[in-house]
Parts: sequence; structure tokens; C-alpha cells
Amino acid sequence: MADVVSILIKALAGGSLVVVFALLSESLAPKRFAGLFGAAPAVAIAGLAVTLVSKGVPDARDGTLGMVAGSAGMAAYACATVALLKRAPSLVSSSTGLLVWVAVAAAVAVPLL
Amino acid sequence: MSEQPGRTGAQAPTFFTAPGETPSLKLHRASSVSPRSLLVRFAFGAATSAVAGVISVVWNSRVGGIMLAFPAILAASLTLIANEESRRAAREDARGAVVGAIGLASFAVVGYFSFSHLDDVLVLLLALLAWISVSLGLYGALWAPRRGLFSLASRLSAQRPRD
Repeated sequence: MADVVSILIKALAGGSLVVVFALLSESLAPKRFAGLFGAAPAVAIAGLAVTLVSKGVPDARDGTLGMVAGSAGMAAYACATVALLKRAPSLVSSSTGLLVWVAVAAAVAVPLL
Repeated sequence: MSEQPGRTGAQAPTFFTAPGETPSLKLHRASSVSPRSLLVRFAFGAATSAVAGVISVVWNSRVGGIMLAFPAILAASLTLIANEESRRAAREDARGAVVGAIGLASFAVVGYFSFSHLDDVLVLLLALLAWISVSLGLYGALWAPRRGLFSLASRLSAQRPRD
């Protein structure tokens, strides 16, 4: 039950922070500068904060290690979508890019974790 | 990441050319964001956070931590920008996100080495500061008008005498 509650809180907090950073991004120009905030640690802050309260520091620290792999995937995702958006509709590009994220994050995670 | 010149003959932006516009913040722009797009972004963020939480419980926190860097904001934003503005604008947004992702890695590294040594809240603040510093610093180093690496390269290239 405690796990379910913490997951719900993470979801609410994560969604809210994503909206905050998205609004900030919309207020910025040029688009390339606004794009920095597309990689903002919104989900990370929410997730780590709740983990610190519910599970403690060791779990939060472990989470940041996994995050390094995810960040490599995020950079690869952004690069891939730049190329894909020239050739395909946005939904296809975005979805295909997620496969790149999975592949790169997994490739970095295997030796790291 | 290069593109063909546009119809006017102007060179299309690439990762290696600077935007040529000074970064600015205009909060009134946020008021034009539609409730639907905010809901989409909230849903992406909430779903990502929930999945990260479930993976942490079912597997372990290290694997769950990978999801903390899932491109939730970016995936939703690129789709919305491409539909509401243009794919060119979405590509520009993605180019900035490459630099933001490097900053995100620094967030994770600061967190990893600081937890267990410093207060929890201080670690999150330091990690956030690391993301801000690295992202903004790298953006400025690469693309600042007149001073960024690629701004200088473009100017030198334009000044070079043609044969």
C-alpha cells in the first residue's frame, strides 16, 4: 500500500513539474534555448524527492546512477528526432526516437549498473 | 543534422550554426499555451514518474532511475510544437535538448556523489544548479550571439574571401 501511495505521489508531482518546466520553456526564445528545458530534471526531482522520503538516501543515490544512462539516451533521442523530423510526421518521429532512447540507455546501463 | 537551404536561399539552421537571436524570457507567452497541451504534458510526466516508481518497486532503484531521464517533456513538446508551429521549430527545440541532456547527466552525477555526504534538500538544489549551469554554460559556449563557438565559426566563414 505504501508503494502504491508513493507511486501516486510521484505521478502527481512529476506531472506537475513537467507542466511547470513546459510553461517556462514556452516563455523562452529562441526555440533552441527553450529546448534546454525539454531536458529539465522534472521527473527526476519529483521521483528523487519522494524516494528520499519513502525509501531513503541509498535508493535515491542508486536512482541517480540509473539516470546517467537515461541521460545518454535522452541526448541520443534529441539527436535522432532532429533527423527524423526532416523525413517523417512528428508522432512517428517522436515515437521512433523513443526506440533510440531505449537502445542507448540500455547500452549505457548494462556496463554502468 | 544539416538541412537544405530554404526557399528564400537563407541557410537552414543546423546544430553547427548559432540561432542568431539572444535568449529572452517573455512570461506572457505562457498564457497562450492551450489547456489541452498542458494536459498532454501532465499526462506524459505523470505516466513517466509512475512507470519509474513501478520499476523501482518491481526491479530496483537503479533500473527505475533510468526512467528519471525519460524524455517525457521533450516527446510531448516536440509533437505539440511540430503540429502547432512547424517541424523546423521542433527540430530547433530538439537541438537545444541535446545540450539540456548533457546538463541532465551532470544533475545525476552531482546527485550520485553528494547523497550520503550532504543534506538531501541541499543535494537536490546543487544537482539542479549543476543542470542549469552546464546547460546554460554549454549553450552560451556553443551558440551565444557573436561569442559562441559556432557564432564565431559562421562569422569567420562569411568573412573568408571567396575564390
